[in-house]
Amino acid sequence: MRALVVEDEVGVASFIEGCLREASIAVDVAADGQAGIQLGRENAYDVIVLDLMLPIRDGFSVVRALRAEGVKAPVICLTARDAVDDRVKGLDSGADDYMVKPFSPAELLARIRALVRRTSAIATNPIRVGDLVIDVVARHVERAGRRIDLSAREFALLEYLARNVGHVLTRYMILEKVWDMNQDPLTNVVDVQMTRLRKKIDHGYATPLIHTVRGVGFVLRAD
Amino acid sequence: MPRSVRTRITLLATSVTLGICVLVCAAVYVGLYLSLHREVDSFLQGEVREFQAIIQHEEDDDLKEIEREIRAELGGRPGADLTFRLLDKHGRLLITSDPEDSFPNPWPMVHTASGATASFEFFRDTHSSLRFCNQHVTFDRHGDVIVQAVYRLDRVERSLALCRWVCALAVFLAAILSYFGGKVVARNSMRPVAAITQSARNVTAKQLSLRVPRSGANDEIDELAVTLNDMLERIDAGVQRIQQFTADAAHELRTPLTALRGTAEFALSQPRSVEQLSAVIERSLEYYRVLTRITDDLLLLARLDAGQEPLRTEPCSVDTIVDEVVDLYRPLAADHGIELRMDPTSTLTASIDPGKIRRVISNLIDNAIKYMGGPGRVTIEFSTSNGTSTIRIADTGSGIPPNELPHVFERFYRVDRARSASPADAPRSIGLGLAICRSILQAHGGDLRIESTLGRGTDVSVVLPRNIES
Repeated sequence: MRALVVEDEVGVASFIEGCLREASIAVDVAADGQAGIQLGRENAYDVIVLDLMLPIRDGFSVVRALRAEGVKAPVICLTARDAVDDRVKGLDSGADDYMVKPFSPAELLARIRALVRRTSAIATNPIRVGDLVIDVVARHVERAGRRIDLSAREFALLEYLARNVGHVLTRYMILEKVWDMNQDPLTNVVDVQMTRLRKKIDHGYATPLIHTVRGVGFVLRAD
Repeated sequence: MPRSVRTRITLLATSVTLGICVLVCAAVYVGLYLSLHREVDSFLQGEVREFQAIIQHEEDDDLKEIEREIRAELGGRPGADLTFRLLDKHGRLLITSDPEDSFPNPWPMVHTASGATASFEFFRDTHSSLRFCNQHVTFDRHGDVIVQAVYRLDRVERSLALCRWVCALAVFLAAILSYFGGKVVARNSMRPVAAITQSARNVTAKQLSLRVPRSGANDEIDELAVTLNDMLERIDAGVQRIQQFTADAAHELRTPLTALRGTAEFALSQPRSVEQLSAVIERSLEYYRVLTRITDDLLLLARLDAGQEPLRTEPCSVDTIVDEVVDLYRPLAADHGIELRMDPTSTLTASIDPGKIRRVISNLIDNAIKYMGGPGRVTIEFSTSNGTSTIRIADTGSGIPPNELPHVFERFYRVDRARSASPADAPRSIGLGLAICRSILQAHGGDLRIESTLGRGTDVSVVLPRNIES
C-alpha cells in the first residue's frame, strides 16, 4: 500500500509518515499544494492524506485539481478548523473523509483502513479471532464452543473491536463509535466498560484476546 | 444638502417660521382686501339708491337741472372720490356729477347693468382704479335708465399698499429673527452632542472605563448619553470577561504544559529503562488528552458564545439518550459504589440536537459521580409542566457550599480546587463543563438550574422548551 501525505508542518508530517511506515504503508511527503498535485498525478496512491491549510495552493484546490485529473485515490482531509462549512467544503471538493487536529495516529490508521476497505469490502461473517467466533448477523458470540451472553452495547463494542482486529482503537474512537459521544469525558468510563467485556470474553481462558495498549487504547488480537 | 445638523435645524426653523409668517400676512392681506371692497360695494349700493331717490323725487323733469343740483350737493369738485352718473339704456351719458367726466361714452359694459339687482365692475382710467355700481331703473318720466355710482379706489389702494409693505417688513424681520433664533436653539441643543462626540472619540479598547458626559436635562440627548454609557458599560464588562477568560485559559493550558515539560525533562535527565520511559510517555498522553479537551471546549464555548455553533435539532427521545449515557456510566458508577437510578417507564420527547444534549447529560452524570465522594445514589427523573420539560439529576453527594453555588457556572471555576487539580494526577475536570452545558441549553431556549444542600446532595435540572407534544 502506498500513501501520499501533503502537509507543510514538518512535525506533523514526520509523525504521520512514521506511523504509516510502521503500519507497512509506503509514504511520500509533499510540503505544499503544488508538489502534492504533482506527486498525486505521477504516482498511483492508495490513499492521500491532505492538510487543508497549505502554502501555494490550499487543500480544497488540491483535491479539485486531482479529481479533475482523474485521480481516484481516497482523500482524507486534515483540518485545524473544525467548522462545519470547512468539512462540507472539503467533502464537496471531492475528499472522502476528514479529521480534526489534533488526532491520534491510531484513529488516522483506522480511517485509512476504512477508506481502503470501502472499495474492496468483503463482509466476513462470522468473524473469527482465535477461538472466538462472532456471528454479526445472528448476534451470537461463542468462545471455544461455549456461548457468551452479551448486552446489546457490549456486543457493539466487541463487534467494533473485531472489525478492526489487530488494530488499536483509542478510547475516543470507541466512545464515538459505540456510544455516539463526541467528547472525551476525561474519566475512565471506557476502561471500566472494557474491564466488564474482558471479564466475559477472557475470564477463564488461557490466552487473553482483548489487550490494553498503554496510554493509547485497546486491541482485539489472537497472538 | 447641508451636512451639519446645526445648519439643517437652523434652516428648517427659519423656513418654517418664514412660511408661517408669509401665510399669516397673506391671510391678513386677503382679508383686508375683501373687507375693503365689500365696504366700498355696500357704500356704492347705498349711494345708488339715494341717487335713484333723488331723481325719483325731483319735481323738475329737466335732467340738466338735476345734474346741476347734484353737482352743487357733491361740491362739483372735479376728480372727487364719488361720482354719480345717469346713462340711458344704450349706455349714453345723460348726466354726471363730475364736470370733467372722461369715462367712455357710450359706456361699453352696459349689458352688465341689466336685471333688477345692482351689478359691479372694475374700471381703470389713466389715474387709478375705479369701482362702478350699476342699477337698472325705469322711471315714469325718464323711462329705462342706468343709475351709476363710481368710486375712486385710491384710498383703498393706498391702504392695501401700506398693508403689503407692513407684511413684507414683517416677513423680512421674521426671517432674520428666526434665522438667528434657530441658530441659537440649534447650537444649544447640539452642544451636548458635541460633548458626547468629543468624549466618545477618546474611548478605545484600552480606555473602556471612559464615559460620555450627561447634560442632566433629562431630554433625548441626555437619554442618548445614558444609553451610550450603558452600552460602554456592557462592552467594558464583556471585554473584561474576555480578558479574564483568556488569562484563565492560558493558565489552564499552562498547567498540563508544565507537567508535560517536567516529565519529559525528568525522563531525559538520566538513563532510564524502557518501562520507565513507557510510563513517562503514558503519563504524557494523559496530559495531551487534557490539552485536547481544553482546546475543544474553548473552541466550542467560543462558538456557542458567538452563536456560530449550529444546532441540528430533530424530534428525539430524550429518555433513550439519557438511557444510553446511563448505560455508559453505570459500570464506572458501580465501581465507586454509586447507584445510577432511572425510572424505566417515564418517557420524554423533545426537539433537540441529540449530540449536544448527550454531551450535557454525560457531563452532568460525570460530575455527579466525580463529586460524590463515596457511595451514594444518582436519580434521574423526567417531568413536564406547561411549556417546559425537565430532566432532574439528583445526587446524594456532599453538596456544594452555598458561597460557591453562585460561581459554578463561571468558566474555569471548580468547586474544591485542591482535589480536582492535584499535581499527582492529570486534572479530571477543567471547569468548563457547566458553562458549556448551560450555553448549549440556552441555545436550545432552555436553561440549567442547580440547587444544593451541603451534606445532602445536589439537584441539577436540565430545562428544555416543550415545543412538541410527547
